[in-house]
Amino acid sequence: MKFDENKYEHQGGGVFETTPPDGSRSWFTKGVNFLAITASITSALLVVLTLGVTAFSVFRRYVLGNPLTWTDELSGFLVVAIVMLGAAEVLRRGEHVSVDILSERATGRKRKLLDFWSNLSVAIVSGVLFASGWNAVMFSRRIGVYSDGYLEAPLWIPQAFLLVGAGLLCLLATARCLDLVLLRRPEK
Amino acid sequence: MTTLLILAILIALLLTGMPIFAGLGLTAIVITVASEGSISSIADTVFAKLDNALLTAIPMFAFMAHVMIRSKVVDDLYDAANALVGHFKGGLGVATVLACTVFAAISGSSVATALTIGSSAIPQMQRFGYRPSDTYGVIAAGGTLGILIPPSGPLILYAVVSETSIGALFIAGLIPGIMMAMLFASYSIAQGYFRSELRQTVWIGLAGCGHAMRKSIWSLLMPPVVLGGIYMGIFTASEAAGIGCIYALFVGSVIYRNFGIKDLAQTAYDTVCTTAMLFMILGGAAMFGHAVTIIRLPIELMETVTALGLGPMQFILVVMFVIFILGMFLETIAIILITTPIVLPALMQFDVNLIWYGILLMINLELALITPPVGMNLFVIKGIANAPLAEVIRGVLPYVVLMLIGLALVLLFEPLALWLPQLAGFGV
Repeated sequence: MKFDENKYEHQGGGVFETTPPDGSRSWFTKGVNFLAITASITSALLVVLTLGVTAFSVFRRYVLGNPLTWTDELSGFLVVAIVMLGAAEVLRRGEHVSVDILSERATGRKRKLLDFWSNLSVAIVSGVLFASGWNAVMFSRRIGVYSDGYLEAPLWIPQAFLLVGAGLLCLLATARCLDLVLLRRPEK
Repeated sequence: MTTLLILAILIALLLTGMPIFAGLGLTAIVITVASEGSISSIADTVFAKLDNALLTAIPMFAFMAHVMIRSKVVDDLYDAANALVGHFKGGLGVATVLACTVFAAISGSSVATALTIGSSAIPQMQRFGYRPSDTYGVIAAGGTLGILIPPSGPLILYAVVSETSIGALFIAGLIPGIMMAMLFASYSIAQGYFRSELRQTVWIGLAGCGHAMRKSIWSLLMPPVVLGGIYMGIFTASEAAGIGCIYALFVGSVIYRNFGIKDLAQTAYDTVCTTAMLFMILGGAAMFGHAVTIIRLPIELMETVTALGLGPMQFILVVMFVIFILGMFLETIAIILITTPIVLPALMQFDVNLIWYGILLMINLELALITPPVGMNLFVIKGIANAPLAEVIRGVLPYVVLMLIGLALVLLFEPLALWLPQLAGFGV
């Protein structure tokens, strides 16, 4: 299993502390990496917003005795946004959980093949999610679907995060596949 | 038969090293396209699963734990536990278990518990005559309490998938969690009595204990602050998590004064990574759950169970055995999200209490964290102690037996899990 055992020891480290060196990446990959980082920073801001919304909701309910009715609905939308905007960054950092008991022992061409397969699978799944998400967003816009809570928000807005996140994930995984095929890299 | 075939294909895919969410998604896409001829339901399924206010509790608890760890508020926990019980025979082991239990109630993460307590406890225990394997065992096992003692991310995910009350599950995990901690502590005490080479620390007196407790008072207050409201039925889990975050930010920035804006940004970023990593698996599992429902897999499983003439207890035993085996290869979150949608209809058919089953599942998943070849806590200990994996595995073996005893006790005595939620009026 992959995890960063030094994560908690990097006190005060920067956002990019675990970023692998990407000297052997194409400009396309570097561009998508930049987008992934930007999306994750937006997602981090949404985490702080979620905390603020929750705290404000608690304050209104238990201190002022005047609960807000829309916070749960907004929190649900924020979860979708946080996850989808952060997914590509987790891929960039190589932190999506995987069973690597076999793959970590592979070297050379076998390792490259497994890396390619792994990225290809992510590209396929996120590509399908993007295509399906596109249909969902278009349908919601065309019909004019609104959320059924107090917010009554146009549903295509939160659904669009699915589209952005899946699109970014698909781009990054595809870029990595292309790098593996087209670029020469020192074998691990 | 179809169930086994699909599980075998899924595990084969996962063993190639692809991310778990991608393995689940790929399997689901193939099944969905083959049976529906369309992918249109996939985005709706994922959106419906993620668009859930209950899930905000997980990033909030993760944020809270990151703040507490980053601002070093929890660093004195082990010293406090050591001051209290380290002078008894086997006391250092008990102190480690105690620190793990309290830390688990703060972080809700098994890995973070093993990582943080392990860094302080391993050198200290070895200085007092404990074999390296003994120290690795107690920390790896103590760390697993993170998923059973609330707040627990896996418990929240199970609650969302099984549509059970998070509050009831949190309360239900308390007695089994403390029982497991007591089993571990009893083993440490027995070691102290039977192994003469183990030494204990010197009693530092009441004043010394008081000083150690005062140093860690802000960590010790965290569990009652966060969980008290849930137990009394005042707060929801998300609200409690929000309060926990505010408390952690207050302690880190005002009391300890070592948590600034830069730390806030880094903590929010860490929370994004943890959340996206976990919830992408949830998204993959949502696709998988939808796909297996389309092909009526849970119903087929129920029919097989009926044909075999299994009763509820036998069915649970079979499920627990399968999960134990899966736990040797798969990550805990994946096991919850893969197995729950499949067995849920059968559990409901048998009228099995889903809160009780959730606790059984968590104890089994604790085992998954320390059973080779893939046990997350084994790798954590290997990482922080730079120890051979074989030595870590040798150390955890007694605890595997203790956990199996704990699992059997909760299996045989349902009230161990259900008495507290019933007392709290959850109507389980």
